[in-house]
Amino acid sequence: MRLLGSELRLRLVSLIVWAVSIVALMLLIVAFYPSVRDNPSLNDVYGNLTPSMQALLGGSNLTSAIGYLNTQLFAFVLPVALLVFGLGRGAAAVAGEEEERTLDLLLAQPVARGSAYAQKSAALAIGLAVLTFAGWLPLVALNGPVRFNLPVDHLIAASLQAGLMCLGLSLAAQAIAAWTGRRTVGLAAAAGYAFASYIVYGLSGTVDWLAHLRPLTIWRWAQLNDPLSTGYGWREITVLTLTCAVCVVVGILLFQRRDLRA
Amino acid sequence: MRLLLSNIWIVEELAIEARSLTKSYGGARGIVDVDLRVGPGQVLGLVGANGAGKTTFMRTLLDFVRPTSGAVTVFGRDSRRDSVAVRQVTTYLPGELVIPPRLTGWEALGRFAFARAGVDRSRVQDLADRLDLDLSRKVGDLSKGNKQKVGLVLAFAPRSRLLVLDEPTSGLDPLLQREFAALVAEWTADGATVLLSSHVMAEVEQIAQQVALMREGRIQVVDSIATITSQARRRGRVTPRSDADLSELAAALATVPGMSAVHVDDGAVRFACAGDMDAVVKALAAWPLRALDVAHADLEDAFFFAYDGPDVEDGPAR
Repeated sequence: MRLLGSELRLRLVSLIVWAVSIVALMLLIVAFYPSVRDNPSLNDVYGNLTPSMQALLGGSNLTSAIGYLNTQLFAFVLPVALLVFGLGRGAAAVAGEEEERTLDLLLAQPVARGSAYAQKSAALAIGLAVLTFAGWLPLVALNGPVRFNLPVDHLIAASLQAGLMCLGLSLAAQAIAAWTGRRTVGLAAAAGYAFASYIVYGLSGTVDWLAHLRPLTIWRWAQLNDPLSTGYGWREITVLTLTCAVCVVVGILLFQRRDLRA
Repeated sequence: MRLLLSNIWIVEELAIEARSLTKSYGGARGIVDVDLRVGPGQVLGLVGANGAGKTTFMRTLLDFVRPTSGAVTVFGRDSRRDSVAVRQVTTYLPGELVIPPRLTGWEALGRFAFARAGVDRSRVQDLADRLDLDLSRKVGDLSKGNKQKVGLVLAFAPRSRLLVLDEPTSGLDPLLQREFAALVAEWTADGATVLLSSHVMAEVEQIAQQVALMREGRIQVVDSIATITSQARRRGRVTPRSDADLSELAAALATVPGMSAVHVDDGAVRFACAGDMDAVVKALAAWPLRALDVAHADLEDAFFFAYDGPDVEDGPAR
């Protein structure tokens, strides 16, 4: 567990900066809600788009609290912010150290490779948890003042599912990067999948044949149950958690099998 | 009593034992069929050209690289199955040492020795003082030599049973190289075993008792420094009083066992001899001589001999 402590200490300042930035971003978006809420003509902006575009953007009802938060936050901005952090950290966790040639010194210590990998995953999970919490905090704090008036646990559910989705993708980036020993490979693969499945998920509501692919998109498991309206989707949360676990286990197995580059 | 002693010797574990250790990468790099035994408390110098397999051997021992076949054990523990136990008793100084530049020396210790027992602050400070190193400075602001010292502190501070040091003195000035030799001597006096690789033959000769020469992934020679140098060619130059004797003298020298590279040069006969000097002296007894110079057989020469074979043309007597 001491590697975990070292990892967190090493990146504490950067995590604080990230958390503050996320809080600021959320405050900005939430603070805009009252002016949108009182301007129903804005609904026409999204309402005039094709159904596919609406689906990609996360809905068409901008002025309701749920519609606003889904389109302006949970469908895109929050996941992207978390992914910029998580994919970068995940890909760098093992492969970054290997590319920078610090991995030898780290793993020369009496720590099993699998354990080192898992502790780095845990550090990643803690980092994303902190940022997800930082993103949730302004929503709860301003829930009343801007008249979202949403149940707190629905806000938790939406944030949790978004956070878990981003964690799954970040752990996949860690696994692929650690497997190949190349940060960019992990980053590109996970980001590529995130983007492709975003498109597929967005269009699957309107394009029939894409609906079959929907379960393969991670966005489906973060969003289809609409946690802002319905609260926790336990099936979704289970699938996302299992995805994270599988990524860690597969990552460890792949990383343990190979030679480290000198 | 003898029997008892020999039994104890057998029970005593080897610090390093490699058996037919092979690592192939498909290309030229890697190691082939390496057999190596290093007793506890010994210093083994691993020498060879770049790409000879020195670093691969060290990294296999630490389980960074998995053997294609064969095995290596450290105090009886397999590098693969018991890798954590191996690294529990082993510290490592990489040949290409990289420490994140934004860390201070102390932070680097926290980062790369957190899982080590027995790294207390006063011992680290003593070591840093001996090496004249300021651990509170950022690694990025240190010179190459000072960075290397941080690596040495990381390797020596935990007082581990085995130190694996890849090119440990690169970037150190001669004074610090001497300090390094002193550290190795103290640590081994306390029972530690040291495996070090080096390009600097003189350094290996000074620090190690045993030396292994690697070439193209194979161990070419492994023996004590004393044995290797005793088998090494000594280069010599003999000057007869009369130039008229030169060719006859050269012919007589050429018949001495182990003799090579005999030639006449500027009023003297130069030679290189891998055998006993006795035969040389006796062969020369028939002529009146002005001078006889025989160079000290150093490790470097021994290795050039092992690398190039006896039939290479030689340079001047050294």
